[in-house]
Amino acid sequence: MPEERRPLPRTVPRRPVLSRWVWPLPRLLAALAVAAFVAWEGQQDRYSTASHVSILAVILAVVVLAISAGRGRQRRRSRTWLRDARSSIREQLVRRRARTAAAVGALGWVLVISATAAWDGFSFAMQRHSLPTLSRLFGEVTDHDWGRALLFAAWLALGLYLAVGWRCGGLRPRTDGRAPRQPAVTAGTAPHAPPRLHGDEVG
Amino acid sequence: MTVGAAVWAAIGAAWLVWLVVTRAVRPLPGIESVVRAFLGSWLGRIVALAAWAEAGWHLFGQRP
Repeated sequence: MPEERRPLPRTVPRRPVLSRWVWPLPRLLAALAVAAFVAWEGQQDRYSTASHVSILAVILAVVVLAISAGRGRQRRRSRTWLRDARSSIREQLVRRRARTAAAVGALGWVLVISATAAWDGFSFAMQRHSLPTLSRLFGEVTDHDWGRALLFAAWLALGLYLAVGWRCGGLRPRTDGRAPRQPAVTAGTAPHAPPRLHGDEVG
Repeated sequence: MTVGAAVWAAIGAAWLVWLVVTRAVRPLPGIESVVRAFLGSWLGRIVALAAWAEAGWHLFGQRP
């Protein structure tokens, strides 16, 4: 007698039609609020009290967000992170056992970032009109309302990513107060593989 | 074009070229790998957030 095939039970309940149309509303309102804030910030003078208060408020909000969203969701403890960074540099510079692509990539980034920092410091030390600093170049952009607004939006987006990005698991904290379990990933198996994860080392 | 502007243009071009190269050649670590290297622990994240906050205060609250 052939077995009767039954459809598998649905594990995810179907969302009502109405909520499918309603749920983007809070996100839309939040996006509009952020856009309005960015446009308002673009019109502020950098010396004004409103500008200082708003920038400090954004910094405070991002720090609070980083702390609240990141409790128990760091991929590694700081001590492990420092130890791994030291051992990685030692391997690349002293033992010369690192893979070529990673070494070349790291060298490229070090060169580009060092050149930027060194020339900026040199220009700042010389204090000549013909040697503008990086701040002065950005200042010419932020002198305009649109430039200040665009740069502020980019700065805000970067801050949000630094606060909540690259965490273990989702943003919702576990109810039992423990760190989320993560699968063990071995570093070095792929060029763009994430750093080594330790399920018992989430900080 | 002044000397400073020329050097900044060269540095900007180097940034652009390196971003494109790291994007095109997959084994090379991209800018997201550099950022994520800092976000792997609280210490690195705090350093990155402090640099971000200082940059924002300097750009939008002071005269650059």
